[in-house]
Amino acid sequence: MKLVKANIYGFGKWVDQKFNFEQDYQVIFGSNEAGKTTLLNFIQSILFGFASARGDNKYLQYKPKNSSKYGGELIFKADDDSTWTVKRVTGKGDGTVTLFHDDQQVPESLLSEIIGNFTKDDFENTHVFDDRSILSIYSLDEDKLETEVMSIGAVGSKEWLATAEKLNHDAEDIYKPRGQKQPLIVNLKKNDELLEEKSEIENQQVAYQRVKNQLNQTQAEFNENESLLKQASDRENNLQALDKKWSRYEQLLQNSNPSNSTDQISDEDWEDVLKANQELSTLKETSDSNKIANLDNVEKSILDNYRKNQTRLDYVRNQKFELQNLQFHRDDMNSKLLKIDTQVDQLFKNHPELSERMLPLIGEEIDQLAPQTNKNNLPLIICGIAVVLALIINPWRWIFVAVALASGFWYWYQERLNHHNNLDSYSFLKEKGYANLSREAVLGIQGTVIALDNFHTTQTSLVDGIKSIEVDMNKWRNILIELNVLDDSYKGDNYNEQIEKYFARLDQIMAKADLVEQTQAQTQKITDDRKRRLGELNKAIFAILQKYQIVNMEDFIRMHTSQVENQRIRTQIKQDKDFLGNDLAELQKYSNHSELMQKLTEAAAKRTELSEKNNQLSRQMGSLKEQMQQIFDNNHYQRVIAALAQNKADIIENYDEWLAKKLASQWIRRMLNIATKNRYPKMIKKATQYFALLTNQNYIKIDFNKNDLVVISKAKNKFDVHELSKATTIQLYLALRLAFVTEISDLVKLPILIDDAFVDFDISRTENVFQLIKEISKTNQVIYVTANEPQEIPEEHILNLEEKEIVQSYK
Amino acid sequence: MKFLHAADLHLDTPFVGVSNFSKELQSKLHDSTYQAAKKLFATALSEQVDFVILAGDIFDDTDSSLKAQMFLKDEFEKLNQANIKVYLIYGNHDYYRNNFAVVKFPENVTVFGSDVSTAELTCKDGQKVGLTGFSYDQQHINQAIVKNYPARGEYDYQIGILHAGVGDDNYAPFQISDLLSKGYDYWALGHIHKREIINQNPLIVYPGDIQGRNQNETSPKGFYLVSVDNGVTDLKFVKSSIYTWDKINLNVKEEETVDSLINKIKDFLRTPDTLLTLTINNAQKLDTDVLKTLQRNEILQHFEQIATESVLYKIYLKFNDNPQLAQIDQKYWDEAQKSIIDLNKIKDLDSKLYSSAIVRNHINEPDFLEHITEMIKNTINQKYTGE
Repeated sequence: MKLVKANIYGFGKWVDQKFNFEQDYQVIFGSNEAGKTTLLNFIQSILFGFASARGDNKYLQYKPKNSSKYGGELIFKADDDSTWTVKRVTGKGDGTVTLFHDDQQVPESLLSEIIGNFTKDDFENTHVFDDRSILSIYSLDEDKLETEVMSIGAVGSKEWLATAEKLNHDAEDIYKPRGQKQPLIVNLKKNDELLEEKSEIENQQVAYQRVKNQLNQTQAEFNENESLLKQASDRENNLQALDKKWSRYEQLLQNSNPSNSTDQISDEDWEDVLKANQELSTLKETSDSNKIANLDNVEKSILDNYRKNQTRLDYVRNQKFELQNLQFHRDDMNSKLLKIDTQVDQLFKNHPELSERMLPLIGEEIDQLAPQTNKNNLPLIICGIAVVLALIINPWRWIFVAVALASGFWYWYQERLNHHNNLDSYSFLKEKGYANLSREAVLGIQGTVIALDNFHTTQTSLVDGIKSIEVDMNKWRNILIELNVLDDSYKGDNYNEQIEKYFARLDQIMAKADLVEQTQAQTQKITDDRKRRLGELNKAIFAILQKYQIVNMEDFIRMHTSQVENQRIRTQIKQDKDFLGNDLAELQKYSNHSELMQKLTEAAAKRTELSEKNNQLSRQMGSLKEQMQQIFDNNHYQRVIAALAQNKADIIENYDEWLAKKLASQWIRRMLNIATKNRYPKMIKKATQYFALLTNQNYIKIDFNKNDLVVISKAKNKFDVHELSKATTIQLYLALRLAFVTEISDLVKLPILIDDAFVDFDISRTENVFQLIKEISKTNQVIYVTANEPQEIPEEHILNLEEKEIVQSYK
Repeated sequence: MKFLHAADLHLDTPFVGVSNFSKELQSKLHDSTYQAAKKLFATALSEQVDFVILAGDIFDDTDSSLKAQMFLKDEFEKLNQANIKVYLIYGNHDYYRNNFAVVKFPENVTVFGSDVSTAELTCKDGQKVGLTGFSYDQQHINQAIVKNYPARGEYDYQIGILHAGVGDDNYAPFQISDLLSKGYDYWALGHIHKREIINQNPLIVYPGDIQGRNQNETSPKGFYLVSVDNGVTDLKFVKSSIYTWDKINLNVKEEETVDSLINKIKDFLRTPDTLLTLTINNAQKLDTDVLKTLQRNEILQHFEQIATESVLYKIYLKFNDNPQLAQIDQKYWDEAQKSIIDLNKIKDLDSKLYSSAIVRNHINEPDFLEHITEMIKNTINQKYTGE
C-alpha cells in the first residue's frame, strides 16, 4: 500500500492543500515552521485518529486556526493498482472515518486492509522516526523486540502475548533467580535451615546409647564412691567416738601410777584412831570450858576488907538502926523547927508591934508595971523529958542529959530575967526592946512576947539538937568511909541504905566465895579423870600409829588420805578402763589429742569430699536419666522431619506452579513465534546487515546479553547500547526499526515517516542513510522530511514546501 | 500354617498439607502408622499365626526411631508371649546403620543381615519353613541381590523376603523371572506402596504399605494373611489403614453456584476416616466469582470449619480446552510444545533450582513431564479464560 496523495481540508497551518507522493521515497524539504511535521502528523491522524483534546496530546490535534475545516483524505494505491481513500473529519472520539475502495465506500473495518492490526502507538513505535522515538532505543530489549514482531504476526497474538507476559509475571511472583521474598525462594531457604537444624540434632539412638553408657558408667562410679563413703563415714564415726573418750583416756593416763603400798591402814585401826582422836579433841576442848569463875579483885578486896575489919563492920551492921533513928530524929526536929518558924512568922503577922528584940518581962518587972506575971515552965518540961529520955535511951543518953541540963539552965535563966525586967522608965524596958511602947502595949503584948520567947527557946533547942545529931552522923560517915562501906564520893546521908547495900553485896560475895571454894574441889576431880583418859587415848593412838611406823597424827591422816586417794584412783582407773573398753588400744595409737583431732579432721574432710562426690554423682545420674527420658520424648527431630516433609511438599508445589507458568508463558511465545514464521530471528539478521551498512561495517553484530541489547564491533568488542555515540545509537535504532518494518512488510505496508532524524550525521553517514532508504524504498515507501536540502537526490523525489505552496496549492 | 505378610510400615511418617486440620486430626494422622501396625500385630495374635514377615521400611526414618523401636519391642514381646516369630528385613528407608538398633528385640524376632541368609522354623502343623532374605545396609543397592538368593532348599515351604522394585536400579533390581527361577513357594516383597500381586504361581506379592501416607496412596491399605494348607496358598487381604486417601472428580457446569458446589462436595464426604482429594473438572465453565471463591480456598476452608465424615484434603481445579485456542492453529501449539516441554531444557531453566535436591529428584521422577505438561495446559487454559 503506497501513499500517493494527501488532501488536507484543514490541519494545522495547512488548509485546502494537496500533496502528491512518490511511491518509493519522498523527501520533503522546508525550513523551520514550514509545516513538515504537521504533514507527517496529518498522515498519522487520518490513519489512526485525531489526537484527543485532553492530556498531553492535545497539542497534536492541529485544529486549524484560520479555517473551520478539520481533517482530510489520504489516497493509497494498492499492489493491484486499486485505490483506497481514507477520509477523516471532525466527529466523535478520534473523528469520523469514511473509507472508499476505488471510489466505492466500504465498511470502516476494512481499514485493516491498510493498517493491519496496528494501533497508533504501534505505528509511532515502528514506522515513525523522530527525536523522541529514537530515544526509545534505550528501553529496547529482546523481549520487547520479539513481542513487537510477534504482536502483529498472528490473530489474537497481542492477547496471547499479554497472557504470556502475565504468566511470566505470575511465575516471577513465585520465583525469581535473584528474588528474596518469593515463596519458592523462601521455602528453599527454609529447607536449608531445616536441613541445618536437622544436621545439628544428634541421632536419637546414638544419643540414647551414649547417655545410657554414661549412666552406666556413672552408676558404677557412684557405687564405688558409695562404698568408699561408707568406709570414710565409719572411720569418722570411730574417730568421733575416740574423741569423746579422749578425756577419760587422758584421765586414765594421768592416774596410771597409784602407790600400791602394802602397809595399809586397816579400816578398824582408822576407825579407832579416828574415834580416839575425836574424843581427845573433845576432851581438850571441854577442859577449857569447865573452869569456874573466881572472885574478881574488887570482890576479893571487899572480902579482905571485911575480914580485916570484921568486928567493926559487924558493929556497924548492928548499929544500923541507931543510925536510922538518928536520922529520923534529926528529920523530926527539922520539921518541928520549920513548924515553929511558921508560928513565929504568924506571931509577927498578928502583932505588928512585935519585934525580935522584945523579951518577956519577969514577974517583978510586971509587977513593977503590973501585977501580972507569966511563968514559963517549958524548959522544965523539956528538962524533965530529957532526963526521962536520958534514962530510957541508952545510946544517946548523954545527949538527953545535955538537953535536960540545957533546958534546966534555960529555965533558970528565964527566971532571972524576969526578975531584972523594968519599964522604960525602967531600964529593963529598953533593954528588953520595949522602947516606945506603952505600958499597956508592953503588958498587952507580954503574952505574945512570952510565946515568941518560947518559940525562940524551942528553936534554939531544936537547932542545937539537930547540930548534935549532925555531928554524930558525921562521925558515922567517917567511920563508914574508913570501913569502905561508903564511898568517898557519896554525898547523901542515907547511910542506912548504903550500909544495907554494902552488906547485901558482901553477903553475895561471901556466898560466892563459899561456892568457889566448893566447886574447885569438884573440878579437880574431873580434871584428874580427863588427864587419865587423855593418857589412855594417846596411848591407844600411839599404839596404832606405831603399828604403822608413824610418829604423829598428821602423818597418819596424810597416810590414810593418800591411801583413800589411791583407792579412789584405782577405782577410777578401773572405771576408765571399763569405759574405754576395746578403744583403749585404739586410743593408745595416738600420742596426743591433737593427733587424734588431726586424724578426725582428715577423716571428716575425706567423708565430706566423698559425700559431695556422692551427691554430685547422684545428681549426674538424675540428670542423665532425665536426659534419656528427654531424648526419648524429644520430638524436636520429629518436628523438623515433619517440617521438612511439609517444606518439601511446598517446594514441589511452588516449583510445579512456577514451572507450569514459566513454561506456559514460553510455550505461548514459542507458539506465536512459530505462527509468525520466525520473523524475529530474520529481523535481527536484517538489522545486523543494515547496521553494518550504516556504520561502514564498523559493527558486525547485534546481540543480546541477558535480554539487553548489545552490539559487537569489527574488533569483536561488545558494547552496551548506552556506550555508543548518539549518532551510532540512532543508526542502531534505524537498523532495527527498518529491519522490523521490512520484515513485516508482507503483513503491513505503511509508509515510513522520518522527521529530520539525521541532523547529527556526518556526510558519510548521511550518504549511507540515503543509500539504505533508497534500498528499503524498493519495498517500503519512505517519507522523509528535512530542513536541510538533500544532495544527490533526483529532483522528482524532492518536494520543496516553499515552492510547493506557490506551485501546487489547491485551487 | 499361617503367617502375615506386611511391608512398608513407615512408622512415624510425617503427614504434609495437614497444618490447617485440627490438632486432634493432625495428631491422629501422625499416630495412624502406629495404629495400623497395632492392627497388624493384633491380627497376628487373633489369627494365631506362626510368624509375621515385615518386608522392609518398617521405620520411616532411622535417625529418630527410638519411639518406634520401643513400640515394636513391646508389640514383638506380645507376639513372643504367643510364640509367634517375627522375620524382618530393613529396606531403603531404614537401612541398617551402626548405632541404629539400641532397643533389643525379643528372641522371637529374626532380623536378616546385609548378606542373604535363610532362617527356618517348624510351624505348629509340622511344616518346615525356610525364609530367605537380606537387609539394606545402604540407601541404594544397585546390585541384583536376588541373584544371591539360594535355590530352594529342603523345606516344605520356602519364602523369599525382598525389598525391591522390578527393574528399579536403585533398589536391588530384579525381574520376575529371577524370582521364579529360585523355585520358592512365596515371595514376600516390600518397597512398592501399591498393593499388587505380580505373580500368581508362585505368589509374588507386594502387600503395599499398611497406611496411606499421602494423597497419591489411595484406597484402603493393609497386609496379607497367608494360609498354606495341603500345598495350597491362600491370600486374604486385611485392612489396617486408619485413614483412607481417596480422589474424586467433580464435573461442573456453567450454572454452578458456590452453594451448589458445597452441597455436591458434601455428598462426597460421607465416608468416615477418609481423606478426600477433589478435582473440579471443567473449571473454565464456572462463573468468575465462583472460580475466585475456589481459588481463594474459601470452599476448602468452609469444610475445615464444619464436621464431615470424610476430611476434604485439597481441591484442585482442572481447566479443560478453551475454544479460543482454536483461533490459532493447533499445529503451532504442538510444534512449540516439543521445544518447550523438554526435560533437559527444564533442568537447565534455572541452575539454582536444579541444585536443590528436592527439585532435582522431583524432576527426575518418572511421571514428572506428564504431570507438568498437564499442569501447563491447565495453566494456559485457566489463564486464557480467567484474566
